[in-house]
Amino acid sequence: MSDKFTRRQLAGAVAGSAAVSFAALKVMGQAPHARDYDQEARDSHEENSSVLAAFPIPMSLEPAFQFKA
Amino acid sequence: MTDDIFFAGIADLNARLRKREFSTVELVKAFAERLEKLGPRYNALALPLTRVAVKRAKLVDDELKRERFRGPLQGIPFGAKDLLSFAGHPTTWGAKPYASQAFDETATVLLKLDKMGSVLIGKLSMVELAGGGGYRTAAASLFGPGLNPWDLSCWSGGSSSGSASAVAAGLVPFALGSETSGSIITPSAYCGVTGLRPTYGLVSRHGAMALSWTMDKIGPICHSADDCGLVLQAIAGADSKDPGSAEKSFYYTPQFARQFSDLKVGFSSADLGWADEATRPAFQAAMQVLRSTGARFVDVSLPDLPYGPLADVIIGAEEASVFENLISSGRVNELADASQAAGLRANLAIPATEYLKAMRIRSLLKQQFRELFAGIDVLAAPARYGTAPKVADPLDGPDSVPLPVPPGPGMRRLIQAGNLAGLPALSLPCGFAGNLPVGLQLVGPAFTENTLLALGREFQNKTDWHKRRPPLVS
Repeated sequence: MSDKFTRRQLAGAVAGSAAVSFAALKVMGQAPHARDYDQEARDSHEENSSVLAAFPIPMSLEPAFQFKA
Repeated sequence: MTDDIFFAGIADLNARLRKREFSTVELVKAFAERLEKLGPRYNALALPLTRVAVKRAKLVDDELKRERFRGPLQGIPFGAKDLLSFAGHPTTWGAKPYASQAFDETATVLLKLDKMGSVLIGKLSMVELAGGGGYRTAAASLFGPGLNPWDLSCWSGGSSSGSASAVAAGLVPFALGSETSGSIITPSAYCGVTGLRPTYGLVSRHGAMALSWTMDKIGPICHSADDCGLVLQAIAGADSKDPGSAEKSFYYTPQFARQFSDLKVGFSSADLGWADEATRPAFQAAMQVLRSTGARFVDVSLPDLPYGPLADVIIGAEEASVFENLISSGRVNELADASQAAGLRANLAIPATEYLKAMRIRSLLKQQFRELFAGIDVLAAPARYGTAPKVADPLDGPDSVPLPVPPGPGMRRLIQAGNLAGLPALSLPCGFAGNLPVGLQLVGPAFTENTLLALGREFQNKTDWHKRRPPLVS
């Protein structure tokens, strides 16, 4: 037996997650909805936005425009 | 000529050319025929250039006859990722919307190699648009999924897929790839070859597809660290046509390398816990080899920064600007990977304030990496924490969290961090997990390629992983 759990398995173990519903749909013979890649991309952007918005930086900090290593 | 030449080092091939064991035409024909025959097996070949190459090889032979020597790359065939323009020939960027694209100008790096007498024998496949939109399948390429010479059911990695698999299978002595966030290091690790990501600005990108102006780099994929040094010396240097050029040259000088006992190597003890179980013995053994050089090891942590969102936003905003017409015209839907098309569409909506915030945090990141490297010379970490995935598996499968959970994040974000900071990195084959190669990554401060290459060379003097050949072609 693997010593690893996927995040999805962990999430499913903690609460009735989408993964559990997905598995149930498959068992019932129903096709799960096709993935909405546009929505996933927008969700990912929102997540990035909130992470960066919460990151504190000093007002004087300038962008790395003249990018020379 | 025996099959051994297909896996020989650059200096060895060049010495044999000079001794006239074989001619440049014979060498070029041998590699070009092999590339045409076996390249499609790995979906590695984008465009054969045999006829042009043989013509060029005749001129190189004339020079060799006149004893006009141009250095160790003279007469050596090579392949180039299909994002580099070669005047008058298709340059597809691996993407259907650009399948018939051709440019009038040749990329600076190809001109530099031509001047050294190297002979371009083919363009090599890549993930479409270098994968910037966020691809989720190995099949995200005009040429089909890159197949791994070590196991055809596995991916060769991306986005420099064909460059790494062609070197691994002995179809070219070396190849050029490019990296924005992992595209040299990843396929090099998966295919068991040696790949070098140079410092940002050291190698001209003129004539290369732009994905992210502030992060794109071009570098060599070879059989050894030594070969990477020779190729980098030829392609590095100032170029007024590249606004990002650091206006620096590079001379490969392993003879002047620092004493290894003077080097401090930073590593994270948490890394082993994050690595797939099957790869751990290889990483452990690799760290032992590094220790045996006399280098001192220091347990360090990467600065605590949001590397993933930073890379997503910076690359996303810049590529949305580069490909604005493709996205607006709707032709983005012709891409093979629907998620990549969706990613590009969504990137158009990244606000300027968010891009600027990411670039401001990037200033902080660079400062924190300068501080980190005040106490160490090199970072060592797994190049990838697992082996090449199956071609049929989605690349965005759920992250697995090992149990027990490692004591810290380790250096799992080192590829993104190193690319954001513009730092050089070297991927070295360091063993196998089952039948698949495992790669070790060395990262140093800006413009310390000679240190990385010297340590890599020493590692390869003590191991033979870089000499292993895939079963189907050995």
